[in-house]
Amino acid sequence: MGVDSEILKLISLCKKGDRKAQFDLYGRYSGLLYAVALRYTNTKIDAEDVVQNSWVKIFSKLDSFSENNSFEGWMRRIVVNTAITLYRKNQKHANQIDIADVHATPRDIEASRKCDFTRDELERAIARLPEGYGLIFKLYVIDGYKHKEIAEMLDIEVNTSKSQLSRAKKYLQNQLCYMEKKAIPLPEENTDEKNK
Amino acid sequence: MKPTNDLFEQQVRSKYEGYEVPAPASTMDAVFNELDLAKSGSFASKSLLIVASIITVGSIYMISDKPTQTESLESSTQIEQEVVDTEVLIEETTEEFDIIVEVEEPTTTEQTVDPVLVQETNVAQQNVISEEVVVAKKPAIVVDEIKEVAQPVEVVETKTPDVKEQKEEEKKKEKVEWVLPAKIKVEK
Repeated sequence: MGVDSEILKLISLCKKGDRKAQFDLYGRYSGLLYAVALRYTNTKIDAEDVVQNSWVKIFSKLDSFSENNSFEGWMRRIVVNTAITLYRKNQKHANQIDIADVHATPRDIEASRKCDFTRDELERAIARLPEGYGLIFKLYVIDGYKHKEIAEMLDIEVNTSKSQLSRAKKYLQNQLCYMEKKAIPLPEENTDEKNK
Repeated sequence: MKPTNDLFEQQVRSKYEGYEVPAPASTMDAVFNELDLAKSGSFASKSLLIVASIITVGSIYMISDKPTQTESLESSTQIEQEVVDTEVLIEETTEEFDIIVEVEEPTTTEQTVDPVLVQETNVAQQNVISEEVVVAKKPAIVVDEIKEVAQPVEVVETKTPDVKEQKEEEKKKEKVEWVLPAKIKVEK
């Protein structure tokens, strides 16, 4: 996975401190990185802080970027790591709430697979999860981190990461299916038949 | 990003592909202000380092030009030389002392008067020297050396009859001398 020549040229100019190239790079990726920051923070203010610190790190550590890797992935990782640092800082003052066991039956899971849901619905469902569970779910499912990486980032056991992901998935599937069921309007065909 | 076979995971991931949220303009200003600060800060720190190094080098150069340092260096070398000289002297005296001690033993057997007196003076001087040496280097050996030196004192005691003989001879001479005026008186 390489980086296209246009981006490489921008990167080399940014390394030299070219302000125009820095503006260009920021304009290209600011929306993407801000979305990532919003996903891993609770408030917009926190997201802005995270993305600001991340951009400063990106520009100051461009020399450490290897051209063989994905530039977008490298930047996303910086944003996620900055957000995790903030999360861990806040976590010292917060009590960890454990998720209640969700007993999702195989039928529920099957149903949720068939359910359709929007991103907003998904985000609302994730927001209901305890913070640690939601974080592991986002890291594993949305951003594609491995359990070992998550365990290192959050300073937890690999098995803890696995078990919390499993619980979070069951909970979300159940919630999304329930929300969809609620949104489904009552079948009109039957009422029409009754009227007839 | 790792691939997944889970349908639910694929569904969730698809919701975020290419998802962007326009960042507020204030964030951009804050980012570039911070970059400017970092740049100016690094420049200021570098210039401060350069100025500080120039001042230190200059001060070292100025201090090295002052004569006081050379004088002190010279005095230190003199002291070293003196120390070396005294060490040499001490070695020499100890050597002399050893030789004299060897000589003292045969003098006791000879039982002569004049050499013994000379040796006694030597021993007196040597004792002084040896005490100095002992204080400087070997306090344990001093006791032995003093004991050895004490022997000639005994020898001097043994030689007291010689002195008596001398006195007797002198008395005899005096008697003779005393007799002569008597004879002179008698002649008168």
